[in-house]
Amino acid sequence: MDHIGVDEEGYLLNLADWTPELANTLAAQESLILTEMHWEIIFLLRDFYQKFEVSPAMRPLVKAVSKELGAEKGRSIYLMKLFPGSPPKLAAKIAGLPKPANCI
Amino acid sequence: MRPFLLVNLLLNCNKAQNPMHYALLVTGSPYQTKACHSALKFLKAALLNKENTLEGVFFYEDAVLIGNALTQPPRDEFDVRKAWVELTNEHKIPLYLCIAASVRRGIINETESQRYELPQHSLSEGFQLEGLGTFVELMNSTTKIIQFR
Amino acid sequence: MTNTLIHLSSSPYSSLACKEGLDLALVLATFEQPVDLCFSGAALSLLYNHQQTTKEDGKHLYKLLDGLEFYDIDNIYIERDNELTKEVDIWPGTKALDQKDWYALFSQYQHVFRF
Repeated sequence: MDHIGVDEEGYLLNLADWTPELANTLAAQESLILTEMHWEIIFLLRDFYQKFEVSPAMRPLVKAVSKELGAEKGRSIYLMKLFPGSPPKLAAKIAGLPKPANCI
Repeated sequence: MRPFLLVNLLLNCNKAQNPMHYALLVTGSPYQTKACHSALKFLKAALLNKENTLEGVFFYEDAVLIGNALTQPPRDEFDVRKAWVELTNEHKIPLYLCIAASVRRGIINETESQRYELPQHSLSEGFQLEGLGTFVELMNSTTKIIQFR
Repeated sequence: MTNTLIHLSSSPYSSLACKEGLDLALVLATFEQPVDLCFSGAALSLLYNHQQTTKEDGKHLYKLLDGLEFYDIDNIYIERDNELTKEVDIWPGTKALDQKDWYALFSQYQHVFRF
């Protein structure tokens, strides 16, 4: 972890540095232990970014989760439980993606 | 059309209605276009009518270069940045620069300078860095937004 | 609540205009403001299929087109019978308007911003 550069807020400086192991470390720094439920969101986010080259804010994230993982999970309350505070920001950080722009 | 005529046209259109609450969106580069100059002229003309209020000016795209404190125009040329600073000092109209557009172009305030661990900052007095969300708020608190590009 | 049209007319490969115009559209959508897009002129090249751009050309902006639905940006207008889109494969999500409707489009919004 020592040689991996992150910015002041903890986002990766070089997105190519990301590995699943690194995600565990990044999560630990946020006092999170990643479960299967976290991982499916993390991979969904990485897939979203791969496809569209943008980190989604809350609404598009909820919509994408709903489409891929079903309406039960596509709710902000579900995402809030997994990634407290701001799910799009926290999940993007752990998934090694840029901070979503103008995220509320 | 000359800017002053444009102002009259716009202002006259709305004479019968309530006073106008304007905000401006400026997107044209201060070097490649006259967007910053025209917006300034428009604002000065619009302010002559006391009924109008100007809620703010939002600079986006290359127009954010207006907020570079380090620019040194030749002494015998019009200093458009200084003119904007004088206008905001006199009329207290907030001048917002889009933060994302600014930072990528090296218009950096003290906070961003620290964030990116830079040895200097370059934001001119009179301007503030704000997210596009501030522009959305302006859109919803005004009756008309005019873009200069 | 206001409705906004973002009109892209600059080439996606000669300036940041399309990128920053689309950024504004995404922010408006994030703040739950209704926003539509329309393309004309050089910006139409963003819609061409089979683009192979390099890193120097900037981000792969055309990839964002398929993501717009997640932002509830569902109306992406072009003018029908445009020379620039006639004989090329373009992204299938656009709505083509006849000339009359195309001209009328610009007076249907409270805000129209051009990039």
